[in-house]
Amino acid sequence: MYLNHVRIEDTFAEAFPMCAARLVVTADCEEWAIIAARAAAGLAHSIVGCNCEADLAGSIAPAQTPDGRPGVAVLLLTTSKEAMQQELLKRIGQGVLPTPTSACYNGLDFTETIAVGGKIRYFGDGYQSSKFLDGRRFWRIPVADGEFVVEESFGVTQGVGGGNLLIQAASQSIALEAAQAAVAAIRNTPNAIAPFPGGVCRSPSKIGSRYKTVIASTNHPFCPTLRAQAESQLEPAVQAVYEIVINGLSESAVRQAMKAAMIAACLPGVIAITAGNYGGKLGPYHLHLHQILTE
Amino acid sequence: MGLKLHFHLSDPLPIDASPLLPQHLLHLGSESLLEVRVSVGNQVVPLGELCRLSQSPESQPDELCFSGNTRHLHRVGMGMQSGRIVIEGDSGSLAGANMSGGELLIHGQAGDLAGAGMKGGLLQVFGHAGDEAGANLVGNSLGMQGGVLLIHGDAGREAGRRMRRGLIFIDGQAGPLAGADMRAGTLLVTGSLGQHPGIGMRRGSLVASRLLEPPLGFLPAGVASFIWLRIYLKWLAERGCAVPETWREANFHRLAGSTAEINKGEILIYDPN
Repeated sequence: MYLNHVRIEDTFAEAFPMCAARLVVTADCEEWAIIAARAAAGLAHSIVGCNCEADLAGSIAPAQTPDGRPGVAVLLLTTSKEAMQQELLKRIGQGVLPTPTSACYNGLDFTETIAVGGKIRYFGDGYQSSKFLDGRRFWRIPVADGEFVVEESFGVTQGVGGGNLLIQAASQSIALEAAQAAVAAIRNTPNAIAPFPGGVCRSPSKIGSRYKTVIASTNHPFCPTLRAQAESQLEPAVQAVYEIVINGLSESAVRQAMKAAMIAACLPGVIAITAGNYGGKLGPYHLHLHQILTE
Repeated sequence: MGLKLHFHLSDPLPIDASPLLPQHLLHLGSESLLEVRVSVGNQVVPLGELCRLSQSPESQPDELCFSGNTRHLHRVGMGMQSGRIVIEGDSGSLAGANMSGGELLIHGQAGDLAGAGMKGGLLQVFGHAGDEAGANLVGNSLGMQGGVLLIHGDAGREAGRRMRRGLIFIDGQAGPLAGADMRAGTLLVTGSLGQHPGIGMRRGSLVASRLLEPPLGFLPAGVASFIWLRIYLKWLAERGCAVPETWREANFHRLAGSTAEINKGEILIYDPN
């Protein structure tokens, strides 16, 4: 299949269920809300080394946030509910709490919840207090610019991780331009994120390595400079490949984001778009590129 | 389709309306309903002698509407767990006392002890409320323990006395001793607080535009913008409450107390500067 003269490989991305949470981070102005949200989503690119994949998931207008201030959504995915609790405690406690004027709320309405503010409150050393309104408890933790407010419980749900695209182009600059266009399209899609730095990954990985202690290593068939030394999956004209990893709150959110990303990435100079999978043995979600484009 | 009870008695004897709850009445047929026994003064009479019954097509199916001479109806919605009661007029004392769910709307003035001992649900008074709104009932150690009491007018003395949880919003002035002996919870007053607010307070928040006099047992604790208050103000505004526009992004003077108790309560006073 060709889209705007770009070959779309007849293959699929293999995705798998993950535990997902959504934060609403607010502050007195959008600038500080973004800073706090970025702190919460920091170093959360790959589950392999970070235990968490996260990214900002869009701005929220003051009318839509609990405290009427500018807000930013953060989507996080981990392997389990327990891991999510650890990540939220760390990321809200060390990322959002210290950021001036910030507050942090649950952004998911699900029955399954984990205690977050209910544990972070102990930072208040006995001076914390809470407010309970309309079924939601908010903890007030005294800090040096006033109070940090955090919701007691955060909802978790089953999300989908591992959606991906590999954009192959005739030069590094074209590949990066296409990847950035793809990420911009993903960021306009609700409930989906691209967790790598800037949404783009230059180091797609394969499972395992020739070294026993390394669980993931460079995906050498996609490295253009290894063509003379190892088997390659790249045609001769391809000089650079960027991977876009896409996670979301649901399979449909990931599919929608992949479609938007593929359409946006088909720029002149892009040769092919493919996806990574493990032969269908790893994840239950097989996201076929051709099928997604016809949806 | 709900039911409408039009009370036609001009007799000033108090009527105990506590048996007239949606959870008890709405599944009854009209004949059984008119036979429900109600105390009037020291007599017990069938409901049919006090009011005229009609269907109310515009109302919700779980709604009871009281109209006519409702001023002598006491204990309306007392112990209510679900459904909705609308009073088209004033109510007597103890409206919504001990209610734990549902909704009670009073389109007039409420007597004393409105929402006293309330544990859940929503009580709205579209007029002034008497003394001891949301306070504890005689013999009980705790006042309001949950739910929301919205008073779109002034409240008398001792509003929120010994309250433990929940929210009271007074769009007007509060009389003396508001929040006295408060255990926790939130009492918002768009106007001023009368004498001795929060006296004996342990935890909780009293918020107002002005103080008539410095509160006893409270010490100044800074000026700040309180995010939890913004959450409450937004929530109230979304439910049609006349939250002062100037409060939304304002700073408040915090007074911590009561020093006669465990000193974990607060009075927040709007800072116009």
